[in-house]
Amino acid sequence: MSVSRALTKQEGSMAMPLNKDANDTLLQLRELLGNSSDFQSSAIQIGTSHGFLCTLTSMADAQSLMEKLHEPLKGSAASQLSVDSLQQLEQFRQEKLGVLAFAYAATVQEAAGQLLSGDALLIVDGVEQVLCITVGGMPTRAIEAPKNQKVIRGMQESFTESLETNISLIRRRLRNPLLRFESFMAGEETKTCISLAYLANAAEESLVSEFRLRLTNMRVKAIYDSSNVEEIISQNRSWFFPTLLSLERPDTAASALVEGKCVVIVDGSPFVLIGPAVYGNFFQSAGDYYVMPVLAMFMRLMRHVSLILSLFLPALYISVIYYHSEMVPTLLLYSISGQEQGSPFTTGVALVAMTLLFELLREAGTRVPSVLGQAVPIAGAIVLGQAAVEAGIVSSILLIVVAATELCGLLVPHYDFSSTVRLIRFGLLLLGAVLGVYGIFIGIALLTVHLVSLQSFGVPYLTPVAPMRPKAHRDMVFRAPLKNEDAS
Amino acid sequence: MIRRTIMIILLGSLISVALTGCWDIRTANQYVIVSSVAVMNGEKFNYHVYLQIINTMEFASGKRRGNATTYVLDGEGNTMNEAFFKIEEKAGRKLELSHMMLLMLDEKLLTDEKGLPFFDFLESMADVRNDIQMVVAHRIPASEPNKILIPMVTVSVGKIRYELDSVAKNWGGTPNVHLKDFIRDITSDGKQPVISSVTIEHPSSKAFNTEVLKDTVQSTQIIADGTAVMKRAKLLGFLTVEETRDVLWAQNKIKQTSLTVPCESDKYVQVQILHSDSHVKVDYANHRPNVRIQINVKGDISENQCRTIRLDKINGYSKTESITEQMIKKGVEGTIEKVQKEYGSDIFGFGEQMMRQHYRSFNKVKSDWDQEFVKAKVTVAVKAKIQSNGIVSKSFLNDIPK
Repeated sequence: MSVSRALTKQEGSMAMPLNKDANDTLLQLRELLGNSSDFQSSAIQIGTSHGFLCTLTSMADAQSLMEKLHEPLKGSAASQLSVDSLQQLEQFRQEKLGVLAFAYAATVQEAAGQLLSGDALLIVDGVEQVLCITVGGMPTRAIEAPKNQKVIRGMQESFTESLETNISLIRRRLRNPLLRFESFMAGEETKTCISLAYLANAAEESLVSEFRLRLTNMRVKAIYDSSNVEEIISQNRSWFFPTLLSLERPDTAASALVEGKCVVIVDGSPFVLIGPAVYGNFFQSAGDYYVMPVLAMFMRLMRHVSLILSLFLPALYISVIYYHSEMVPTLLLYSISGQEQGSPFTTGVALVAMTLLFELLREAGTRVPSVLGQAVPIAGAIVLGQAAVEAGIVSSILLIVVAATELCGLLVPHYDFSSTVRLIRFGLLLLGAVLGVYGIFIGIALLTVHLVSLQSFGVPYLTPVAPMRPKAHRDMVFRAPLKNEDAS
Repeated sequence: MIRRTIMIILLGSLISVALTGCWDIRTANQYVIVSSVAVMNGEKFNYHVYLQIINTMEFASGKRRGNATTYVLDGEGNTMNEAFFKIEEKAGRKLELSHMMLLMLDEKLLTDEKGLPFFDFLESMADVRNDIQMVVAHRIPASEPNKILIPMVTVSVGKIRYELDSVAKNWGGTPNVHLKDFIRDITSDGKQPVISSVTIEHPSSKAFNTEVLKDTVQSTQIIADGTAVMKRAKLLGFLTVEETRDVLWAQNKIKQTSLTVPCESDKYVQVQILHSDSHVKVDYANHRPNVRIQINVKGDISENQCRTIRLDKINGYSKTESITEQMIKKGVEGTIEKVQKEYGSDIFGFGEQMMRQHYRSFNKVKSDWDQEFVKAKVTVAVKAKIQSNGIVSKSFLNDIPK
């Protein structure tokens, strides 16, 4: 409590305008950063005036600092120039540091903020503002091929953790002067940079202002990834369904911008957010546009069908076995009944247990150190597959149901969408086990009501089906072939 | 207040939904699957019921022991339910009746009056499908076909079912009656029901053992055997497979068939009927029903043993057509006459046709339609059209030097 109060008091003084004494400013800065080990200041001489050059060694690359600042400043000590005022400093900057990006900070806090984003500070005695020069050169990851949203044919670049790189990746694909990037900052502790991108002639003003509003209204302590932002700005009433797409492919982001959507890029996250996103968008993959339209349509249909299968297959199986054995083909019933003879668990228990085991296996697969990579699939295949059937604990047809369900769930191109399906599946399984097919229909009704009530930035979640938008069907389940657009 | 009421209604419905579920839950290891039911006269009680039960272990790859795929349990009772309950006791589990394929009735059961109350049970029982096939066991006890083992076929009643379907479709030798057809006919004013009949060739108790499956000679066979003629729920007698085809011809139920037509003494021409179409006109004139049946058939010749029929000439075809027409006409007229004289039961549904065509005159005579049926004047006209003959029109029989 006392610490935080002391800090607040200190911050108060830090927000005051700077005085002209360079030593004093340096002291204040040092105090604010708590004499951090990566804070480095060196005295310099510009003509008759002296000053300090401060950097954070962890944020500004030494090599670029050398090239950008030390070289131009080398000769200035011997010159007869005197820098005593802001005007003279500006004149000096124009002469020596010409094209480098810069800013002036009037308070210690501002100066510290610039320092923390990788700038070098030039504090000159007798000037009441601090010159901040962008140095950058921070080590970043190179652009790599996408890991999660792969395509066979098409671009093989993905976003990285660096905001600038990501913006450049989009800008490279849309050489359009109307492409806008707006900066936001969020996270009281992290001060994360967020960029909102849209195409001024495509995106509706109301949509952009809605994004702007939600981004500025964010009040959180920390943001580490775009998923944090997604949670807050989607204002989601659903526990299950995402209303923003997260993408690692610049081409998809660019195409979304052309369609009039907004893109949110968060510094430090290789996934950008795209909104508004409706149900159908989660079944589109970038690869759909790089293959023949018929094939793309077939694949999308398969994805829709497989999602439905993965939702309903276990529930349907259990309800048919429990309540509607007359619906099973006769010979299949003989086989199922034969396999179930002498099995210690009822079908429902076995089905839930096997599905849970599969979930565990999946979780283990993502957690396991890559050195042990082979262990999990082998254990899964042997334990769940052969051994369970041979031991008579579960029937092989049940295993087929569980495996088919999991396989179908993997066909959806957006992982966050397919993973929620797993949760709903358990609910439906319960309904089906208690109430039979009637219960499944209750589940379908509830699910439909829920989906219809959802909105993504003002767009109903089931567009273009409910409400019906005939023209939007050209690129939802179908993919209409590209054509030369009419000049008229 | 309104909110409270809504909450109570919602909660109540939720609780009722959760608590009333599961009442009819059945798991696959808690029931035995019944594939057919056979009913005979009981000794102490009214009915003796035999159920063919599937030994499902033989259908699961890991659990097969090489035992018989089906077994038979029986029980007696004054009502069907009583008999079923006794069987359930023997099985130790619930009976799963929804996959029952066949209902087999004994000749003797149907000749007395005990058959009728029995059908009520089948119609009112929720688990039994109303499209199960019905057969009468001819010359054998109804319990026997259940017990027979047949190679390549895992369930013997399944074989009967497929056989009836295929015979009805490809030859027309069985009426292939389903329960719902039977119930409809038994309640109709202008039609009497029929049931398919099956029999066993060379019945032998050896066929009850799995050892028989290892033999190369399978003498014991279940075969379709024509029609059981009924008057309401009472069995009157049987018609052969050939007569059954005539009955179906008079009802426009023949899809395909094959006729062996005599052309010279002990020589035959085989006519494959590929399409058949019958029109029945019934009216009432001179105090008797007047039935006119027009049968149009199209077909091919598949075999020709007669030298007199030259299929490279047009008159060969016209000759075949005329002898085919005569044969069909003779057969259909003869069978109708036989049914009129021997059984006096309108299994052809002429009454129903009359009801459709002359409703008022039928209403006057419907109370004793069967007597009217016996008096009916029946004329059959056949038009046959033979289109082609295999792949060679000029038979080599004519080229053999004498």
